[in-house]
Amino acid sequence: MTELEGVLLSKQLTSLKYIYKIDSSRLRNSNWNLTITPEEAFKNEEVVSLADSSVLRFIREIENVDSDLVETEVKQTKAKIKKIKSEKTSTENRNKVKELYNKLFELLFVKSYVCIVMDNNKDFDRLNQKKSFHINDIKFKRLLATTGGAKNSTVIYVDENIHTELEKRINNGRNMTKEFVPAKLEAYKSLACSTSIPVSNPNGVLVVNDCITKFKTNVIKIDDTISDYPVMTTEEDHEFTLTESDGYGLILPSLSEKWTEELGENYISSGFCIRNSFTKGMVFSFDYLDFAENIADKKYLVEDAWGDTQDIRKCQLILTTSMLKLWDSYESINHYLECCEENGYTFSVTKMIPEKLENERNLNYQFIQSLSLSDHSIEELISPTVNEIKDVLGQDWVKSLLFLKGVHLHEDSFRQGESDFSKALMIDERMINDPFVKTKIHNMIKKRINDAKVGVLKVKGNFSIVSGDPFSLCQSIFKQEVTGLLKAGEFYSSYWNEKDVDKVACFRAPMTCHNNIRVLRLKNDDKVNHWYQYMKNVTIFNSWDTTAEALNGLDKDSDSVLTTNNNVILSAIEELDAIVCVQKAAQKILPKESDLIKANKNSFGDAIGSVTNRITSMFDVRANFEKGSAEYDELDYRIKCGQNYQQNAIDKSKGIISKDMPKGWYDYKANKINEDDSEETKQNKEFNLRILANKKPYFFSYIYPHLMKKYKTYINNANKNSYKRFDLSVEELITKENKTDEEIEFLKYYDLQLPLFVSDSVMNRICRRIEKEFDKVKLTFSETQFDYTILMSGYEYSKGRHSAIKNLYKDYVKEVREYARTARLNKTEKSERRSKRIEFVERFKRDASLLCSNIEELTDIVVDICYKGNNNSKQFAWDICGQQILFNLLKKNNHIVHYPIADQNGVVDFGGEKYTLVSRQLEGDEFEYSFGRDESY
Amino acid sequence: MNLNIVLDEMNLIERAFYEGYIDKDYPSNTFKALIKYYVLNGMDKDKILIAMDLFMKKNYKEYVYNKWKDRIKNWVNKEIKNPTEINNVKKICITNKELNIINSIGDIDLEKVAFVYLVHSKIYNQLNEKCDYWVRSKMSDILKDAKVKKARTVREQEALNRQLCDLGLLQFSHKVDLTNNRVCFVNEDDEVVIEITDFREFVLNYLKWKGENIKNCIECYKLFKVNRNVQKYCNECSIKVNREKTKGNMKKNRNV
Repeated sequence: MTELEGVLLSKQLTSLKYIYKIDSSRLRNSNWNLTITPEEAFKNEEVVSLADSSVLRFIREIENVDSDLVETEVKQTKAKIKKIKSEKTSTENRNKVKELYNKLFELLFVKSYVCIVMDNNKDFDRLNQKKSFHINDIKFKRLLATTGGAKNSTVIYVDENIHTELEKRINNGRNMTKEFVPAKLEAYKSLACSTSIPVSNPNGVLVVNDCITKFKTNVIKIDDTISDYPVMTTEEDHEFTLTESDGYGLILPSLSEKWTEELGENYISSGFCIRNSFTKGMVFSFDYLDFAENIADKKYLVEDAWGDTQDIRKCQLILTTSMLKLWDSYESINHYLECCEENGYTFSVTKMIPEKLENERNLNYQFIQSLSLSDHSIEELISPTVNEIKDVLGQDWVKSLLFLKGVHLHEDSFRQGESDFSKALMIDERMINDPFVKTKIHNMIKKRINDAKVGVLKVKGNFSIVSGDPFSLCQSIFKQEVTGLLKAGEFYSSYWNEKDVDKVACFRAPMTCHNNIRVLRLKNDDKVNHWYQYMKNVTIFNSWDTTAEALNGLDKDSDSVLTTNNNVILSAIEELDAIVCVQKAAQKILPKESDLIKANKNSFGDAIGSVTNRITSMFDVRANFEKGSAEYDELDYRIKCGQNYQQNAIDKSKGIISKDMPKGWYDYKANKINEDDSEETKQNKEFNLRILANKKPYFFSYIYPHLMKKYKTYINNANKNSYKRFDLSVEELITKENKTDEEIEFLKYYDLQLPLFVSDSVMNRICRRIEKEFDKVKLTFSETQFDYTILMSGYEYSKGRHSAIKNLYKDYVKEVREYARTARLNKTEKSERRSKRIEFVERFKRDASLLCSNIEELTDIVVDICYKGNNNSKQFAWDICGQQILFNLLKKNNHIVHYPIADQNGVVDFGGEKYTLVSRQLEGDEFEYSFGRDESY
Repeated sequence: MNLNIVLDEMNLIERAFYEGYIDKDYPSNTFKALIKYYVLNGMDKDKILIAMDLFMKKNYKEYVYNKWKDRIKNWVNKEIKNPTEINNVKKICITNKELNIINSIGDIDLEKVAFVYLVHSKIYNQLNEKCDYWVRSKMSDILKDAKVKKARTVREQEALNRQLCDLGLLQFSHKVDLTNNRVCFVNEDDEVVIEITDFREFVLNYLKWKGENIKNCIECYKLFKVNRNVQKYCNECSIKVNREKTKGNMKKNRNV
C-alpha cells in the first residue's frame, strides 16, 4: 500500500486495465468515425491505464469475461515473458515476446469503455446526438462524467450495446421518480467509477439518521445574495446547526480486522474509506456493542433511517444517511441490499487509515501566508528545511540516502517503492559517483530549494483523517441526549497524546484566510482513551463547535487535516471566529439525459484555482498597508470573502446561479477612470486601484515558470533600458543620490509595471530568505571516475542488437525532449504527466525487449549506450533495465543493503538528528519480492 | 542573418506543397507559413486544422497528433484573429544618403551596427508598413549580424545604442521594459547604391561600399572578406573544396 496524507491507498489486487482516452477533435477530424490500432494509439499517447472499479467489474460481467480467468492468464503471460527474457535472444524468442505482449494488451484492454476529452462544447453536443460516434466500428454512448474528470472536460462513453444494462446497474433499482439536483446525481452515479478494492460484505448493515447538534456560537456571516458586494456581519450567539456525522459511520473492530487482513495488512485499521452503490464515506472502528451494553443499558434495538427497528448486534457496519446518498430512494435497508446483490455491487475500499503516521510533513504557502511572522520567526520556521538541504550539499553517501529515501528508513524500506537509482545507492556506496545519480540528486536539491521558496517547509506533524465524535453518533442512534465525550474546543488524537502534546495547529487545504486555521486542544483521559481505543491515527472533532465549518466546510468522508505542534506557527495563530457563507440551494428536478449533459457542461474546467490565486495576491497587496488603515481593512474583508467565492465556484458546477468575485477587485480595466465618472466613482476607483490584486506575488514565479520568465525578461529589459539611458543598472539607479526628473520617472514606471507583486508579505520574505541562503551556492559536484561495469551482467552482446537498441535510444531521447516541451506549453497536470510517463516507459520497455529478448544482454547494451558517452541520457538505462541493474548490483554486493536509522549515538548528523548506518542481507525469495512490480505491459 | 524571421515564406509554402518539405531545424516555420496561406485563402478554422493534420501526417515523421494539436490550434486562432501577410522580402535597398550618414560616424564598429540597424528596420517595414522603422531585434542579434565582438557586457552593448542615439541616428522606446529602437536616418528617396538580395553576411556589403576587398564565393556566392587576392572561396567552401581535393589525390595515389 502507498501512504499519502494520513491514509493508505489500497494497492490494486488486480492488474491495471487499458482504455483509449481520445480528444474530441480527433473524432471530429475523422468525421466521427475513428479507426485506430493499438500501436497508433500508443504512439499518440491515447492509451491510459485504469485501476479496477465497479463499472469495469460490471462491464466484465455483462460481456461474460471471467475476471479470475483473465487474471490467471495475465499472470501466466507475464511469467512467460519473464522466462523468455532470461533466455538467449533469437528471432523466435523475439517473435514470441511480441505475441505475448499483444496477448497481454488484448487481455487488459477494455474496448467498450472510452474517455473523451472535450475540446469544446460543440463537440460534446455532437457526441451526444443520436448518431453519436464510432471508434473501430463500435458505437458509443455517454455514460457519465466523474467529478475529477469533468474538471478536465473528460466524459466517459461506453459501447451502446452495454449502455442500457450498465445504466440499470448504476441506478441500482433506485426510485426513478425521485427528484435530484442533476449535478449531484451525476456525482453520485460516478461513485461507481471510483478505484476501489472489493471487501467481504458485512453481516448486517444499519443505516441511521445523521447525528445533528445545535449550539450557540459567534460566527462571521457572509451573504452575497443581498447586494453586489457580499455583506459581512459578525453574529454573536448565532444558532449553529452541525451535521456531526457528516460523511462517516461506524464499523465493528472485528470487521475492521477482517477487512484489513483482506487488504493485505496485519493490524486493525482505525477506519476505511468505502464505496458501494450511491455510498461514499469513512467508517471508523468503534465498539458500539460496548456502548449498547454499558451506556445504553443493554438496549440493542434501534431505529434505522426508514423507521424500522433493527437489532444492532446483527449489524457489523453502521452507515449514516449522509453516506448512503440515495437512502430515501429505497424502501428499506433490505431493499437496498437486495438491489446491490442483484446488480453485482459489493462494499469496496478506496483507502484506509495506516498503522503509523509520519512524524514530519511539509507546509504549503496557503497555510503560511496569513500568519504574522517576524524575521526571527521566519528564521526558526525555515531552519529544519535549510539544514536538511545544507546537509545533503556535501555529497555524502549516507546523507544522500536520507535525503532521497526519507529519515524513516527501516528494514523493509528496500522492498518499497520503484526500482530506481535510490535503491542502487542503498546497495553500493560507489553509486554516489554515478554521473546519473549525481545529476538526479543535484536536480532534487534544486527542486527542494525552489519548493522551500514557495513555502514547502518541513515541520513536525502529519496529515490525518478527521472523524466526528463517535460517542455522539452512538448517543444519537440510541436516542440518548447527545453530549459526546469532547466538549467545545476539545479534540482527540492518539498520535499527539502519545507524544504528550496537548495543543496543535490545524490546517486544511484549500484555505483562504486566517479564520480557516484552528488550534486544537487535545483531551487525554481514561474515558476517551477507552472509547477511542480503536481510532488510532484519527483526529476526532467534538460535536459542539464550528471547527469543521472554519476549516472551509470540512466533512468527515475522508477529509484530512495537517496538525503540527510547531511553536512558531502556534504562537502566530490568532483564534478567530468561523466564517459562515449563506448557502444557495439548487433546484431539484427529475433529471433527463439532457439535464445531465448540461450538468457536465457546467462542471467543465476548474475555477477555484483562479479564485484562490487572487486571494493570495491580496495578501501581498495587504502587506503594503498599515494594520487599521482603510486599505488594510478593505483587503481583509475581501480576503475573508474569498471563501464565499470559492464556494460559489463549486456551486456553479452544480448549476447554481452564483456570483463571481467583483472584477473591480482584480481587474485594472474595471477601475479605469472615465471623464464622465462622478467624483465619488472616481474616488472609489482610485481606492480600488491602490489595492488592486491584478498581479501574482513574487514567490509564485517559482510555481509558474512562465511568470519567472516574464519577470526575468522584464528585469533584463528594464536593465538594458536603464544602461541605455543612464549608463546605470536599475539597482545602481535606485541607490543613486540626486536623481534627475527623467530617472525618477523611469523608476516610478519600473515599479508600477513590475509583472509581480514584490511586497514584504510573509511568503515573499520567506522566498527571498531562501534565495539569499542558496542562490549563491553552486550546485556543482566533483568529477569522480565511475566504473559503470558494476551495473552490467557481463553478457557478450550482439553488435546488431546494439545498433538496433541505439536507434530506439535515439527515438526515446527525441520523444522525451518533445514531450517535455509539449507538457510545458500545455501546462499538463502533474498526475497526467506521471501517468503518461508510465505509459511511455512501458512502451519503450516493450519495444526494447522486442529487439533484444534477453534481459541481461539488453541491460548490458543499454548501460553501454548510456554510460559510454558523458552526455548520453542515462535515464533510458534505468527506465528500461532498472530492475536488472539492481539485480546485478545486489549480486556483486552479496545481496547486502544499507540504510541509516535514527540513533542518539549515531555519527551521521542530518537535519538536526543523529543516524547510524545499518546493513542487512536479503534472503531467498525476499530478493525477488524486493522488486515488487513484475512484468507489466 | 539573425532575425528569427523567414523572409521568403512563399518559397517555403511552395516547397511544402510540391515536395512535402519541412524546415528540419525549425519545423514550426513551415507550419506557421502554411497556416498563414490557408487563412489568407479564406479557409475556416476546422478546415485548416484538418488540412494541417493531413499535411503533417503525410510529411512529418515525428508527428503525433496529441503533441501538436494545441500548438497548431493556437497558431490558427492567432492567425484568424489577426491575419498577417505572407513574408515576401526579396531585396533591401540602401540609398546613397543613408550610407553617407553611416560613413560620417567615423567608428567602423558603430558604422557596422548602424548599417545592420538600417537593414533590419527596412525588413520590418516591408513586413509591416506601420512599423515606422522600429526595430525589435535583440541587441545580441544586431551585433552578430554586424560582426562586432568588442561589446561583451550588457553595459557595453547598450553604450553602442546610446552613442547612436546621441548622434541622432536611433530613438529609444519610452516604455521601461521595451528594448525596441527606431532608426531615424532612413531616406528611401535617394539613389539606391546597395541592393541586398542575399542576407548571409550582409554587413559586408557596407564594407565593400567602403572599399574593402570583398568578393562573392564562386561556390556558394556568399560574400567574404578577401585576405589574399587569389582567394576564390569563402572559409566554409574552401574547407570543403580542400577536403574533396585531398580525397581525390588519395584516390589517385591509391590507384597508382
